Amino acid sequence: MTSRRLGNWLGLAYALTVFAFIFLPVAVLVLYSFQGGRLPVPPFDGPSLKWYGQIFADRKLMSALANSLGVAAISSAVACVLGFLAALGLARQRIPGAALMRSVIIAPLTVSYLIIGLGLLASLNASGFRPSLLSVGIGHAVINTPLCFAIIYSQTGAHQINFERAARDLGATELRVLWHVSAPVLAPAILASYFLSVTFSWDEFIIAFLLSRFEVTLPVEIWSLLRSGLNPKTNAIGSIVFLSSVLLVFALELLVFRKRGNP
Amino acid sequence: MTAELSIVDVGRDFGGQAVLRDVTLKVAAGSYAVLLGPSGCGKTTLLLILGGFLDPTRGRVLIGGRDVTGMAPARRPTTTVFQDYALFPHMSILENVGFGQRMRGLSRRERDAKSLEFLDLVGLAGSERKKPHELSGGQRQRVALARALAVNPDVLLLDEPLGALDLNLRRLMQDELKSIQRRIGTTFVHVTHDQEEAMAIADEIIVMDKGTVMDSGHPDKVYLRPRNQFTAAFMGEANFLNGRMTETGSRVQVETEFGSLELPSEAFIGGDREAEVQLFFRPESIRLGMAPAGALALGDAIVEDSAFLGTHRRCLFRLNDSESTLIKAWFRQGESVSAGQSLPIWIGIDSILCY
Amino acid sequence: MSGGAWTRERILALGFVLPALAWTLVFFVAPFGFMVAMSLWRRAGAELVRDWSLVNYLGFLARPHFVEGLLNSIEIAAIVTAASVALAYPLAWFIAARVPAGWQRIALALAIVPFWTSYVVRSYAWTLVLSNKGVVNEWLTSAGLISEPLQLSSTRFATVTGFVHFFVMLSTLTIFANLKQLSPNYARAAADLGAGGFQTFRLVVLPLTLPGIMVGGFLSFALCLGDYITPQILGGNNELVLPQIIMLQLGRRADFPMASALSIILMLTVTLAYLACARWLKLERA
Ligand SMILES: Nc1ncnc2c1ncn2[C@@H]1O[C@H](COP(=O)(O)OP(=O)(O)OP(=O)(O)O)[C@@H](O)[C@H]1O
Ligand SMILES: [Mg+2]
Repeated sequence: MTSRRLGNWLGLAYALTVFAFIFLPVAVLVLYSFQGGRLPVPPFDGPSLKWYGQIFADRKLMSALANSLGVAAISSAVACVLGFLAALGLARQRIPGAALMRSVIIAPLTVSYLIIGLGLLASLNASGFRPSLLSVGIGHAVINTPLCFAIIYSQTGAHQINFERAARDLGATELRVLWHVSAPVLAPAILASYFLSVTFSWDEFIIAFLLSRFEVTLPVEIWSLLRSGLNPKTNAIGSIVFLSSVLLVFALELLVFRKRGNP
Repeated sequence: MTAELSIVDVGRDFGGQAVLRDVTLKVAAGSYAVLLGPSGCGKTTLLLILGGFLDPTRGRVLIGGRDVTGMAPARRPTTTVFQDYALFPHMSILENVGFGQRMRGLSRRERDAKSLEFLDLVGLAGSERKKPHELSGGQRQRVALARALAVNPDVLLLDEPLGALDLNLRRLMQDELKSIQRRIGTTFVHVTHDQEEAMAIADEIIVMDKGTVMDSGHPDKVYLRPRNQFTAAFMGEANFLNGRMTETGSRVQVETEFGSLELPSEAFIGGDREAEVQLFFRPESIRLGMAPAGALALGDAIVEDSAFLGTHRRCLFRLNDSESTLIKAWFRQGESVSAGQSLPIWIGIDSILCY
Repeated sequence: MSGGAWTRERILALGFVLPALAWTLVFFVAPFGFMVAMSLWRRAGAELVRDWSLVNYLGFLARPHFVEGLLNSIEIAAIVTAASVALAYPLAWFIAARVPAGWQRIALALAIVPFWTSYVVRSYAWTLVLSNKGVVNEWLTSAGLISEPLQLSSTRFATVTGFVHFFVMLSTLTIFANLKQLSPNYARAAADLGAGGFQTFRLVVLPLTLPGIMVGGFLSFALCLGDYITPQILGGNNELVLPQIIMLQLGRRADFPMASALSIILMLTVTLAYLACARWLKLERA
């Protein structure tokens, strides 16, 4: 029993070390966002909120923030609707060629974002369209549709089909089956996939970088900030993004998933 | 290889909640014991303690007279057949059965020979190259049995081994388990919540409820003379009637709403004689017709329901002057009793127990 | 409902699938096909010449720094994958087996908190940590272990560190999920039959958690191969990886055909990795 005790302590020490590694950059990022001086490196001479003041005064950064939110919200909604319908269609019936359709819909997941962005950029150029926030949104919906599909599809099953049969049996039209039965039954999966794609889109850099020109999203704007080297302003915006994401996840956990008693 | 098993005052808490309380029992070497109880009564917990997977909060476990409390599972002379079988899915049947031998350092040749012998014992010769997922539920259960027996344990622990099988297969496996146990002589401790299964295989039944032992003994004793009302009701269908006891000298008289009767002293279970008692009798001891002298006549009763169950006919009687009590009765297949009839029924005093 | 009959229900189901299918065909399959075609064309001066040839692929083989870029990519991805899985496994095991059940979710949520920093910012944060004046050099200097700051940023070490940081979190999740869905009876059965702690792990637990390892490992490898940001921010320009070379083709030279050819080479590499571990990676329905 003592060797087991020793093992427990070693395990705990190990876990804490890995946790320290995982938290180190985030801690440094947040700490030095309160730096007083011009460089976010030791010694710490804060706390000061001046860099936070600067980012809120930075019009470009703020509009990039708004762009990011808009692109994430809208492209995720598109991805979610497409993914949900496809998942239902493929779960309900054995359509000839279903396996192929599934593979096509899933395919973008297997290709790196760089390549998806490149393909879209080349096609955009060739067809004479200009890169814009719209093309960024399309790109994000392309990468997130398979994600939403996979999540929602994984939650459909025999019971799903039976719910729908029961509703139809009781006289519901297809639209009402969709609205009153299918969507509510899959609501946790739909919500989860929506918020996952929001975070993916919100955080996505390479497609947004390739497919945008004058109006950019936040990661692209942060990227251009990086050219000025180490800068507490970057720390400040990074910390804000981090803290707001954590709050969002926490709130979701409490509001949506906890209530449904999910594991 | 076999050994006596004794459990002394064992208790186990989970988060301050006592799941097992003062469990004390003895299982003779070479016997087939069945732990029987409703879901959640602590059977699996007790078995995990016997196997060494869980330490008891209080008490001791002895195997063959040796205290094994706190001893690691590997070093105990026990092996377990798990509820979900826990066959290693990435190993063949042969590798699964040979696993214990492999851990004991036997060469592949030796352990393969031994594994084949045990696969033969459980009737699975020829399947040794398959993987667990290629077998049916009943076959997996045999593999789990062979794997546990292949290390020659003194005590074999089985957690609801037949729970996942259909009724016919379950009956078949009951017979086989019993015959295998007779052949190798190992002490078996088998957990189930099915009282028919328990009676079919056990030398000794241990009835549990809410973490304590309610009764134990040979199946006919537990069925015919259960130690308490819980056991009486759990071991099969049971009828209860309220009664009032009066004791005058050496004669014990019980008053019921159907008149008073004199019961022999062995009808009183438990010893302490209270004024309010419950009369207990099994449905198969109900008789039709006029009561002979000394028997308890229940009067004319209305047949509420009568169903043919194959081996017998099961009827529900509503007693005349009672609103709520329904009496369950079993009759021979050929007896013609139909719903709506009013019939006199009675019960012999030697079939009545008193709590 | 027999074989291939087009019942009303089936047509309706097909109608549900069509939007996503059309979307993917128009905005993914078609552009991808266009890129494949492009990789077989070539650029002459500022012009795109649409004659079909393998000139870009041959050009790739002929240019040592391109090939070296691919090898760097593979090497880094392999190191990152191995290190991430090796670091993540004990952590996932500790959380699954030693942390009390009620705390496991919290421990896991904590282990992936930095997921929620933006990807670009996360790499930037590592440059803060690893720069010449950063906290690591500061600690080492004040502990008297070094007198001159170590060159940690703009090295392969920095790239690998940044990647491992991200993929440890990912692999912890996949391995934890795998460990949790194993019945505790497997380990019990092994112990019961005489296996020691290490034998139980090697013969039973490890093989049964191979799917979790493979999923985490493959995702790490694939995402690592295709990533531009982390090597660009952390690795500097001393040692280029393939995505950086692809971006260079686009930026300075606007050589789309070459960029396309390199992308396809990148994709083929991922596909090979996928085939190597395909049997552990399945999309399953609940
Ligand atoms: N690890 C645990 N933590 C907390 N409570 C537990 C734990 N294991 C068992 N219990 C509780 O102990 C009680 C007995 O559980 P046990 O599994 O022994 O029942 P059982 O008799 O085997 O039931 P079943 O027939 O359903 O298998 C249950 O109420 C259960 O909730
Ligand atoms: Mg149980």
